[in-house]
Amino acid sequence: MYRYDDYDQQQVDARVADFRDQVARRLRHDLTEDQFKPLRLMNGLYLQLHAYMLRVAIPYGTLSGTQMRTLGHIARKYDRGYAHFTTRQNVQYNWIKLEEAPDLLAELAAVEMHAIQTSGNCIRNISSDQFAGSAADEVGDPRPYAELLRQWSSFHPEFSFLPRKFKIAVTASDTDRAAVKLHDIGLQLIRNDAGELGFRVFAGGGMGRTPMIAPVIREFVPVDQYMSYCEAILRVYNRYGRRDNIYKARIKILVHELGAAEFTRQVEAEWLEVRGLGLDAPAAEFDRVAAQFAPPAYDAGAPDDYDLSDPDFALWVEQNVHAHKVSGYAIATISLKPVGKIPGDASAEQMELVADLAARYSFDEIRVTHSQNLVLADVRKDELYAVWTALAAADLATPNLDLVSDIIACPGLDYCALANARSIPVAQAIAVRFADLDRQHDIGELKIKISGCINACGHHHAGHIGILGVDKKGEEAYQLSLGGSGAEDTSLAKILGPGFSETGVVDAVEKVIERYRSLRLSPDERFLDAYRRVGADPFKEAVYG
Amino acid sequence: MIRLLTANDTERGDVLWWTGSGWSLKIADAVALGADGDALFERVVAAEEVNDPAIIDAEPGVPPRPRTVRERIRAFGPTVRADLARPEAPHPDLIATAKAA
Repeated sequence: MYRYDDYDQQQVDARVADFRDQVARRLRHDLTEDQFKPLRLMNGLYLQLHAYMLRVAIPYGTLSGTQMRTLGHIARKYDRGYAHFTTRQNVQYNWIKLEEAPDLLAELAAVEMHAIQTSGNCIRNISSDQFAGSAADEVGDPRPYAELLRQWSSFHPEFSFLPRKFKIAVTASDTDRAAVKLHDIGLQLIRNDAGELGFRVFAGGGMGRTPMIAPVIREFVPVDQYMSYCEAILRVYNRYGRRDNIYKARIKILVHELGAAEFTRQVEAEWLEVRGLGLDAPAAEFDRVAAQFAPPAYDAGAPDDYDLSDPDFALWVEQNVHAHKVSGYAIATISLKPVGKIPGDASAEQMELVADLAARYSFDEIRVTHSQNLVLADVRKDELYAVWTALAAADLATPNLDLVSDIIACPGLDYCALANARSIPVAQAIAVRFADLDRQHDIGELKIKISGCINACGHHHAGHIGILGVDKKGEEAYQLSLGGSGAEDTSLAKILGPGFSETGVVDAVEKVIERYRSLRLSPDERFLDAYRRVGADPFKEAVYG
Repeated sequence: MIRLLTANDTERGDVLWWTGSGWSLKIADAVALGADGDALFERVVAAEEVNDPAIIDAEPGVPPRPRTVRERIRAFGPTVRADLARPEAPHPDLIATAKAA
């Protein structure tokens, strides 16, 4: 994985020193909160309901074992013994003290991490496919391109005060594990008919108040020019994005209002102006970065066969293990969704265990998924059982990937100052209602996503079943939506009907699922496919009578 | 309904309640604002010694019960981790349910 050079390290260290001074001035009341707030937000420090919350960037969701171990140490030393992995492959701490934040950031910087640009109207953490570099179905490794985008976007002077925040995802497979069409820019690495690598470019997607699926604005940009193309997109957005209305400020509104064709025309015109200015990384720089993502020292003799006689292990393999591009290896997803627990939360001890397992079994590397799970991407198949055994002992081996209990949930009103309703208890109640694993497996792939407010951090628009928490005169209520997808068959969920109470929405989800089971053509027909085939009416009838 | 003055502590971010003479971490220590509540609020805003001051509605009692779920969760802590809730927090269901006070 990428290691900081001196320049990277100096930037991060300098920011820690700056912030230490700013915090000291705030604590002396030399700075007002109005003066200090934008400074702390630039360093990922929010004030939530109960305390300060720090959002730490995990570039394209990739962590070393040392970094994960440090995240566990920080959870224990500066927080209350746990952390929360987010839908943007980041990690959040919920109980940070302002006076300790500079020391915390210094400890992060010591392991090449930071919280810069995890807030504010700038280019946020670059996200990617959690299987990148290992996926059997990828055309190339997207991580070097994501890393170059990280470097390009970090402290970019022109794009530090955009009309609104800006999110970029990079992937390299037809199977979309990064929700590229629901990002401000989505980049899919492809090969053209000549066998050359380039990017299919999507722009203007997003969730939030006004969900949009990004159109393709260019079918192919050669890989040696994708950065200048992104620069052109950002320049058009920065110039014409709405700064007068926060609800219309995202690029998706601009693309929608101009139309994809006109937006593309403007980007292409801008690209003609900027592509010759040396914005793209020189080949030598790309090679330097790409070399740091060279495949690890796989054992060519690693056996492809392994013992599946333990039925619990076999179940986990069936559900949570994916094909690797190298024979004898596999990709293992660690569920952070044990039934009844908080989606995405991990204790310090769990993080340290995962770090140890990565060091021993997966070339010292961990991935964070946008669905709030973790991944060991390079495990020998004949060592999967040892990994599973250790995970199971730490409540990290729930075989529920992409099943009904693998629920995405934002922190919601239990923590978040923006939320209207709680997300976590709803997720817990649904998971408990469907705790029977046989029932979950019979239902098959079903992605439930819950947001506590219209900002959609819980991706409810992209849920096969989406749940949105709303405020009704100071009390919680929940809207149910069906038919969304954040995968390659991206679609936006549609509201089914009137809302529910907290328990009512759990009952409604069960009615929807039971109706699906009764009308599916076969157990192989997914919920999403059945919904698309029959439409909403049978589910409305099941829920509302 | 009574009105309470609340804010967050600058150093730690903790939820604070106005006691009549200072700030407390416990909503049970909060005093109902009188006729001078709005003037007090303006003074607190101007002094800038705490973050995000706000006046909220609550039902009187010991402790007072904020009108909205949001403010009840602010007062008593997360409902999903009993170990992280305020010691004086009622059962999570009582925090969230409007009629269960």
